Amino acid sequence: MNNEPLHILLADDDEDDRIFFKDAIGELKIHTQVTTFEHGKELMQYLNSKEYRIPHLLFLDLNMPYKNGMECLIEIRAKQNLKDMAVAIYSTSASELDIEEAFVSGANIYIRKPNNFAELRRILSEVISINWQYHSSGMNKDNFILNIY
Amino acid sequence: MSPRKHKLASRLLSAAFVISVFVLFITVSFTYNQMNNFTESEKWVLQSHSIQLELRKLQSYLYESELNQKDLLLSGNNKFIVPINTAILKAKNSQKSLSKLITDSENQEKLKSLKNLITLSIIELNLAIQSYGESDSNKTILNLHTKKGNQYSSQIKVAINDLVASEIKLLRTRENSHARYVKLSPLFYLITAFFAFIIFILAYTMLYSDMQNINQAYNQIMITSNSFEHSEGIAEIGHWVWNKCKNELSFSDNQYKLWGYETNEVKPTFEALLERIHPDDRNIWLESKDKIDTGNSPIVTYFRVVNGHGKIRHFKAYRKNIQDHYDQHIMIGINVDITDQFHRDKLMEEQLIVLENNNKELSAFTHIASHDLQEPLRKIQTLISRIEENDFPDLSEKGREQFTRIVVAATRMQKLITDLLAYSKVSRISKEFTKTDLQSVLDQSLLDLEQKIDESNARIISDKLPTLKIIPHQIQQVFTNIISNSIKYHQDNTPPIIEISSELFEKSNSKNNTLQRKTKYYIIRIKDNGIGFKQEYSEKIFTIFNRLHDNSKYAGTGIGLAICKKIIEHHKGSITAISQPGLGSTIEIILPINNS
Repeated sequence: MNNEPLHILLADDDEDDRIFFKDAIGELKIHTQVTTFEHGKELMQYLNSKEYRIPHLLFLDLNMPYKNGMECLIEIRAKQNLKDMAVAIYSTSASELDIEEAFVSGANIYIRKPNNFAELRRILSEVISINWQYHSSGMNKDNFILNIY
Repeated sequence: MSPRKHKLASRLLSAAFVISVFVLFITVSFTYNQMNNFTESEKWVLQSHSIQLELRKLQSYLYESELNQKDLLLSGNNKFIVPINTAILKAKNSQKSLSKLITDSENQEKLKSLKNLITLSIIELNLAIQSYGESDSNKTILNLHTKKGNQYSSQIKVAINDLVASEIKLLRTRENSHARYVKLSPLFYLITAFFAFIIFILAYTMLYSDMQNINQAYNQIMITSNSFEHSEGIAEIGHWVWNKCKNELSFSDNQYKLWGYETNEVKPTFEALLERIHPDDRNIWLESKDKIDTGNSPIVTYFRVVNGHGKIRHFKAYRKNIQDHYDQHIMIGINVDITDQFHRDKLMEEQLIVLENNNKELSAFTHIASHDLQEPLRKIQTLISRIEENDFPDLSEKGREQFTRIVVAATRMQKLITDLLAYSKVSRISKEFTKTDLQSVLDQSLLDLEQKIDESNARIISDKLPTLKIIPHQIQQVFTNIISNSIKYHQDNTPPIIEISSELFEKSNSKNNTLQRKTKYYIIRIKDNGIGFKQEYSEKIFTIFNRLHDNSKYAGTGIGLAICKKIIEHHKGSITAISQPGLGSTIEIILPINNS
């Protein structure tokens, strides 16, 4: 087992959600390191800086100030070094339009924020343990949406 | 009166006129002829009488000469010679006038022989006088002459009498033939008069009935024109008629009025019409004037008119070429005041914009409900779940009870928001109707409700359902909502039994007037054995937020059936409920086979 912590990024403008997210991940029995950003611009600044390490997984909220999630996603997929990074959309929106757009723009998975902490824990555990290499190759729209109410 | 009948009547009238003139002509010519006849016969009578008179005169002259001869012979007095000669001269004159008077050839012959006799008798008379003058001895010669003279005299007498008789006879024949004429003429007059009488009566009757018809037609025209005028006034329509051949233009009374003129205030001209048209719209009018209508449809234009009071009225105008009975080329123009309609349309347009704005606002509201309202709620629920997980046991008993209430309230709010969203989505989202087997839709619903069905021990019995053109996921929602209601409102201690059946719907048995006449419908019945409700609530249950039970016994938002109603109405069908408390309820859904 690799002792290096799993590097996870979260871009979400909502403080409560960031707390929930960190708490839920903290409760998982996986060694992780979570870096959070308050908006898309901050995230992209980080990703474009020299100090960054390619994260294992990025959780991206859609509705954010300065630069929204979709813009970030498009920018990320346009970058040679980032185009294979696993990106999970993490949003309250259940709109077909958003889901479709995220899929087309190259998100790996779409997660609707649950309204139950246990559920959140379960989803995060599931998403983190996916072998992304494998998942990407067999990706289609059916397994794209993880949780839609 | 129809034009054909009218033509016939005028032909009959001309025939009657011709016949009358003909009869009159015959009568006049006959009368003229008759008059001529009278004059002629009178002439004949006169002539005959003068002949007879002349003959008698002649006889008396001869007689006088004979008498004087005898007196001369007896007395030997020479004074008698002069009267003899005078008498003879008179007799000769008389003969001359007789030959003028007598025209009949037979009588002329007779007159000739009479003349001869008279000549001979005069010769004998002269001889006798001569012989008497020569000597008294020559008595034998004298006697011979006298005797001969007497013989001639008696012959003359006979001849004259014969001539007179012949003249009388001739007159009689003439009078007879004339009498026949005279006898015939009263009959002729009678017949002619009778004929004329009949013709006059006929002509009068015809004229009278024609007059009657014309009067009637005139009255009809007056009524029509009157009601037409009124109709034009009421409907705010005016018209003009233009006779192209004569270049005559006329306006209807209401045309003047609509244009803000007093009736006959101005001469009806196109200029007078143009003058009142809004200056900005005059081109519309002028351009339409040059257009020629082709086919049956008239030229239609829209323009404004500034009437006498300076008010702007909106008009729709039609113009069309027509041909009347007499093949005259006529153009009619009809102007309809559509100001009210124009304003109504404008108002409607404004309302439509308001409505569109409202819809946009509603969409925005839906978005708020879907995102912004759910956002804090989701956090509340997440926090609730965290407390439940960790700190719930540490709360006081009262705290735990109140916390449980918070959980229920939050869950209910979540349900309300999702249901409301579902309701608002019904008519907004994808409208693709596809031919779908209702059976598969029902199966999907039952799959969704699997847990509830298992828990409640419900039994679902369904017929084979038809294939209809529907929006599958919407109808699925209808099935799900209704069946879940049936399960929810089951009778205590009795497991729910739900029967689903369908059949072709007979519209004739229905009072439902929202259904279209030409479309075929299916009726789907979903019957349960639940608690039911009073029939008077059958409408109310489909109204949004309306509930028959309080939340403590049966949880719900009061949106489920409202969604069903909205979906079915979106499918141009209908949904109704039949129920009695304690006896279960039946939901009847009527859906068209085809939907566009």
